[in-house]
Amino acid sequence: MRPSVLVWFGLAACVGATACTRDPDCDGGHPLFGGRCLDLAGSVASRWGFAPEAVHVADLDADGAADLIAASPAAGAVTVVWGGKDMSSGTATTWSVAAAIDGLAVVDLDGDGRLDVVTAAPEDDALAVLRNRGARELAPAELLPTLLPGPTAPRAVDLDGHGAPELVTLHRDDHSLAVLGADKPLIALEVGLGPVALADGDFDGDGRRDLAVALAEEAAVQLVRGDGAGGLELGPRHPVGVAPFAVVAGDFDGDGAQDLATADALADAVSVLYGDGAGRLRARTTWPTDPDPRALVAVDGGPEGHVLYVLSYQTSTLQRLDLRRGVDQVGATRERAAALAAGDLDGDGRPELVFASRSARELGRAVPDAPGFSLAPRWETGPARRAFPLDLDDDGHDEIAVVPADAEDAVVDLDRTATLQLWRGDVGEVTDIDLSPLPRVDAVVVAELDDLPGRELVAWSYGKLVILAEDGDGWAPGELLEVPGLASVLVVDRDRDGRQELLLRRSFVSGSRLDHVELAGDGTLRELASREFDGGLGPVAPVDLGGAAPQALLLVAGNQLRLDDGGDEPRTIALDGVGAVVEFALHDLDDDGRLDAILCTGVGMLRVDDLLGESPGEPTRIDDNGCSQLDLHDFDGDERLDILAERSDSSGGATRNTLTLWLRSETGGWTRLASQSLPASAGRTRVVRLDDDSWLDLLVDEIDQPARVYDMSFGTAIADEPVFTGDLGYRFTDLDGDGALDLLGLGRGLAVAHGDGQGGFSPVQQRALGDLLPGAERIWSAAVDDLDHDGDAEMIVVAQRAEGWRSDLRVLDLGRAAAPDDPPPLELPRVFTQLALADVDGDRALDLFAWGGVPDPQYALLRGDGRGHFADPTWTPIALEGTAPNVRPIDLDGDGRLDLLAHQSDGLVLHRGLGDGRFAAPSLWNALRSGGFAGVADLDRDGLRDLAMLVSGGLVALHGRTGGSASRPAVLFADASAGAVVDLDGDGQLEILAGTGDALHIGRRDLDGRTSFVRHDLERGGLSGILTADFDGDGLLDLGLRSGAGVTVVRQRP
Amino acid sequence: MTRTVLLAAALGLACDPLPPVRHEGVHVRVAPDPGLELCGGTLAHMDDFVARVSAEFGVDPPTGDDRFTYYWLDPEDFGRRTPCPDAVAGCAVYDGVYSKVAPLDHELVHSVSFAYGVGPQIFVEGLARAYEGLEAWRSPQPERPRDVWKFVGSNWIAPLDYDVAGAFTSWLIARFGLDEFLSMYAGLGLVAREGAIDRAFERHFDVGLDRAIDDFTADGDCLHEHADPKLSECGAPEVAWDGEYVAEYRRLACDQDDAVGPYYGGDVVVMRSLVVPVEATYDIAVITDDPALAPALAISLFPCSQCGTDLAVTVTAGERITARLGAGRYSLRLHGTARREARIGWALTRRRDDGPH
Repeated sequence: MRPSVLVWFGLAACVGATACTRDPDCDGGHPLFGGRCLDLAGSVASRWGFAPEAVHVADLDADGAADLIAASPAAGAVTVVWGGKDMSSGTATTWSVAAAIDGLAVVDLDGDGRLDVVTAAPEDDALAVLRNRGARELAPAELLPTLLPGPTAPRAVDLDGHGAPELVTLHRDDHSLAVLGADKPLIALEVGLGPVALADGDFDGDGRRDLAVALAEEAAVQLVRGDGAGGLELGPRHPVGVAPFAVVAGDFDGDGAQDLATADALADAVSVLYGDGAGRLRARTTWPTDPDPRALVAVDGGPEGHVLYVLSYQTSTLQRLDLRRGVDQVGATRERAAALAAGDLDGDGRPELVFASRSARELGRAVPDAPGFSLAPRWETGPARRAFPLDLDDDGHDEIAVVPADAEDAVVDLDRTATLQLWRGDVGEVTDIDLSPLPRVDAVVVAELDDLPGRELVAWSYGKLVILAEDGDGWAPGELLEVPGLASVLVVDRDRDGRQELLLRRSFVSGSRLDHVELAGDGTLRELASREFDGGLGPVAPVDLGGAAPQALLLVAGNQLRLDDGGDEPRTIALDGVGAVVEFALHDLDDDGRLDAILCTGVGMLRVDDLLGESPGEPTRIDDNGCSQLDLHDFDGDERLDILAERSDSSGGATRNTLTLWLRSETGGWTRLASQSLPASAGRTRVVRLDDDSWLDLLVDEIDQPARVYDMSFGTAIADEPVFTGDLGYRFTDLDGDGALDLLGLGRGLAVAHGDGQGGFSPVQQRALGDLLPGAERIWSAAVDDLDHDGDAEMIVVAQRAEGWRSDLRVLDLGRAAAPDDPPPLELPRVFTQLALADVDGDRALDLFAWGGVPDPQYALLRGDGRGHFADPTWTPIALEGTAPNVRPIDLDGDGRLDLLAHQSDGLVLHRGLGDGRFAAPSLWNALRSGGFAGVADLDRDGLRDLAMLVSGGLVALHGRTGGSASRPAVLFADASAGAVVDLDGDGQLEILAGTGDALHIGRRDLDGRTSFVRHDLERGGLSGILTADFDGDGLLDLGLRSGAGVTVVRQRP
Repeated sequence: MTRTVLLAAALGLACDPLPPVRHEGVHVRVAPDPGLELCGGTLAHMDDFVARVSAEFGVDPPTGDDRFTYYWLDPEDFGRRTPCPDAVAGCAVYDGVYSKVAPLDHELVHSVSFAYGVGPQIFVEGLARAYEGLEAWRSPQPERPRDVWKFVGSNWIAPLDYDVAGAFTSWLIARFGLDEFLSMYAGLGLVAREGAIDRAFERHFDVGLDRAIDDFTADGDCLHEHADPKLSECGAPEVAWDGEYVAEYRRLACDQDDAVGPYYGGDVVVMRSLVVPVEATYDIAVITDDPALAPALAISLFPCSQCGTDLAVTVTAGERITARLGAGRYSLRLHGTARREARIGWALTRRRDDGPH
């Protein structure tokens, strides 16, 4: 009997008897054809996400070198970065712990001489203990119930003086602390509202351990006296600043009594409580800090006493607080830090400082006494909407022009006209300039627009502009000019005749426009040239191309650099591997007479030499961290331009601007100084010169805020350097040939977890990429399969070099580092070359298909011989968009040949495969411009393949039509955020899987053509993707439900 | 007559059973559909609001059997179960309020104003709009058109612009006094048109409708959030402080006794008032311990002086701003989400005015 007949029979049986939905063995699961079951109740969750919010330093593997232990609360995972001589091994292990975790304690709980790891599992109302088995192995998490629900902030404290320390937890909703001893709950004690942090010490001098609890909602520290036998009672409560988020203990003044310090988030201060040794206060001091301090560590500075390091959550600045002198050093971490810890990382007997960055998935080290600069607040303006520098009197010193804030949002006054205030650094008075008839003003520039004596002031707001002429008494306004869409104005002298013109940047719904205009004799603007652009228009700068030619314009349009030299079309300057460009600064950095550029891009801050030449230089990366604004100035007076890079950061629900100064060295390299950071919302920072002192000043302009002026000066500061990154991209593949899928993470490191055949995975082992691929910095793409059929997977990767701006095709062997006698790397034409394994030429052997995007999109077929060898590539041009084109090799037309489906700006474009490694001319398959792939199948059973896509409206189907196109999207499941379409059970009918965050919906198309869904609530929300694969190696497709934390595997059982 | 017609309409249309009363307040009883839960302070807020509006309008707040009954209903079949059109958020028919949301103070103003009868729609809705307060709005809404003539003759809500009605009504009350306005209003019927309104204006305000509208149009418009006396918001418990620094860090959740909500389903508001002793520049910081909730958490400060020049200020968690605050009383509200409990902290610090030197 043919399979199709069997399938039909099975369907008929199901429909007739509904036996398929009454399977008693599928309780809590989803019944499938043939009595099989998706075992949702028995799903296995594995977590490996790295977004650390707690960090601890301890020698966990007892090798004499400190390790870093980090907890990632939302991911529910604990990661240990194994220390080496300089913490740069990049070797780490991640254990899946619980749905959510909080805090860390490292303690020998079982007396075996090995440190165990403890974290709280608030959603399980338990503590999770990972016992240390030695040899860098921790046992799977053991959950120990706590006396009260929702434990947080675990701390190991020996309260009874014998045996293992007790574990103390805080319980915010119960306003209590609880103690767990010898694996059983001992005690709970109500301490007050908002317990958030714990410290311990002998605060009353009785030789017994006491506790100090920071009460965030009571602005106090509650002391809890220990009786030495495990009993606790409330002691004195000491007021501190509002919202103490951290508390640390130590003998800060060396008097033998324990003291306390708190980080008071809403007081912008650290409170230091000096104890008298009897539980009372001898003295109290308060030290102002940067805004919103939330983390605190005390470091014993030796003979000089303790110093405190304070972390501002708002600005992510670290401040060193000398308790005799106050804050003496400051520096910002360039990635927002969430937690601090101190420990002797390098074995020199002195503690170092480490921080954890949740948003950057990074651990880093803070280095005091590093070269840096400081910012001293100097003065600020009155209430302002905007502010900008303006050298109105042409004396070489900037004035600060301020658009004053007024009551216009309370009362609408149609007759209001605009004024501008001029604030000067050296005088206390403010000058007002009447800008009427302009009703309101966004900004002002000063220019020489005519041949008459005196300069002109050009003021504008959206759609309106007025030019004021300088006369003996001030500024005489011209007529109000309507310029629809006017967004900003730039002064240029493109013809270099000494009489300046204006560039008007105009913004419309349909796109942008740049008008080059000059002032006519009648006071109107005469258009000299105009250029229209699709999308938004970014920075614009005039550039001299040499000779007598008028100045060209370099600009950013559609995130691309374009050079407008007055020809028919502006020329796009496409740079290999450089995606979106948001800002540029031009200067002849190498003195070769050609303009070089510093670029803020999506892949960091780059330098490109000879940017405007026919073949611009290869980008070199100055900084992995990106930037949003650039200022080139000679900050150190060595007559070389340095870079002040600004970066806006709104991660973690707080806004700041980070400033990093790169000094240019004599050899042309760049030296990064410690960064600084300022609280900010929308706005920008500008370097200004307000006076004749040797240093520049900094103007911080925030929309609707007073403008602030800072003095900049060199000095020592706290620098940051990354130690470990866990930011990898993960995929599933059978690496060891056991049939079960393994987990493979690739990026700046390489991570592997082996599937256990039951839907679970071993702990994730991460290694530094350089250990396996010397000279490689990052893997951008990979093709993994058992290419030579030896049972183990081979990995071919696109690896970007650590030096230079190139990528190579390299073979990666997980078992050993690349050696000099390995096949030589194949240099790739594009940095972001992407790979796929597929039988493109129809010879039943896997080929390697590679493609890359702009500036010269091309693809190559590396024909495979079925034994793991591939022919050399021949690169062929292909019409693809973007630096990293979104392309999926897929047989969409069902002719047995692999096609390429590309997401492009005009929709889904199909490059039909010709079966020999070539492709036909592209054709638009569907106008859908965005969406994620969810499956390909004949959804409507018309014999043509359809595409399931995830779009903002949910899971949709694009039904293939005869003639090579597709219908308009038809909704399969509205509001789905994840989806897949697949025949899970092999019955010839498709399952439609839709995820809505906290639920999985499984649908089947009924015989009448309608699709009915069954909803399954998920224990844990955050479902972001659905994979279908045989995870356990039993030959049946399973589900992998992806979230930011990891994956939950739902197995299909017979 | 009007009352009879409206009651008959209510009884005739509201044929589906309405839910029983579940919350008994002093002036308001609330009957929510199953599954709808008031935040902990909402009933007390409704009582407070009705008491304050009643006092303002010079009527006794309802007590005992005369209390207003607030039916909080599932939007699904709202129009079928109530005398309200399906498209509205709620409506009031004397002591009965039917609403898809809770609280909806606008409808409670209607119930109080029924003591003065039912005037033309522009003043029925204008009065409710003028006194409804801030609901869960965090910041003033943008300016809107002010064409009163277009709506003077409206005898049904559909074509009526509530902002125009509210702004005009607020202006009339500010210009001629609430007592005179209510006296004028009480003399008009539901279907009074331009002529009748004009005559009533002449009689009570000594100016005709033309002149009143011209004067209103010529005056600077005052946004609703500034014109509204914000009776509950500005009468909320006053925060004690020394004028230099005040800060608070607290839980913010729908189940708390001072939490009002959930409004349209997602908001919770805690109302306070704060007196700024002297005009000065202040730093305002708002924080939370849960970054994912930061966009949903904020504080707002609205000046209680009606149509003055002081600005409203809204600060979202994670932000810190500097604002010039004029002396006087402000409505200080904490904003959060009704769906998840959160912690919010805020601090207000007076700063030394510092210019160039």
